[in-house]
Amino acid sequence: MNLKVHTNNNIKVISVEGDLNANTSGDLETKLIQLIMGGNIKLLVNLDALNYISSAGLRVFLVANKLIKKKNGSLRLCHLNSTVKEVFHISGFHMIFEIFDTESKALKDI
Amino acid sequence: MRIRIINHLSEISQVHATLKEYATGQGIDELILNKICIVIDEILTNIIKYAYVDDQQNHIDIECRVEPNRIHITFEDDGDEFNPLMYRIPDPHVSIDNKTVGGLGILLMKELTDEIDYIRSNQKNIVTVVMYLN
Repeated sequence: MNLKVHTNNNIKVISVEGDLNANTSGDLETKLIQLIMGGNIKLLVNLDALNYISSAGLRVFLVANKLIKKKNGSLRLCHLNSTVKEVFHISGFHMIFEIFDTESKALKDI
Repeated sequence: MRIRIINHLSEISQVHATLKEYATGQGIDELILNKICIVIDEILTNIIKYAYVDDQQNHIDIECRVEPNRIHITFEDDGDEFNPLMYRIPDPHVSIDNKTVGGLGILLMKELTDEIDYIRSNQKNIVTVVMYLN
């Protein structure tokens, strides 16, 4: 899995590429916590290049979302492929997160 | 396809790589392949975390075969008796404040497979999953 971070209008956008599973999710968790603790409380995670997510990956989003909510921030997700969408629906995570089709839509009014 | 790994989470990526190569060669499309990878991740994580309480190095055998309309995967380990299907599945509708990830892996493995079975035989845990390809 590869992570890239860029800034768009003061919002940190994290692009995740590859597989998000038990083996790789720790790297994303470290990156998200680092950003949030560093004062970045508006985050967008772009999942355009993510192949799939397992429960270990879901856990990372849950942890990051709880942390960012405590700081009155916002964590948004965009560009979920059909497999990732299905996992979000099965787990009920689609009701917890603000999910957008594209990065530009997700960046509006964040 | 057969692969033997030791009971360490870092070994899962080796299973994914081997299976991706095998399944792609068998004409399995990427969508199914991604779901297979999730199921493998959940099952192996459960085995590695819960079937082995000591620090000993043990082996897990994975066998996969593609039949005309289905893919069949068997996981065999010699750890303590552990039936992942016995665990309570979380309610996906609970609010975020109460949401935990315990059991989510089991929910995913049940929902993403078409058949899943567990038996304990000869001191081994054997989990078999079938996923339809159509």
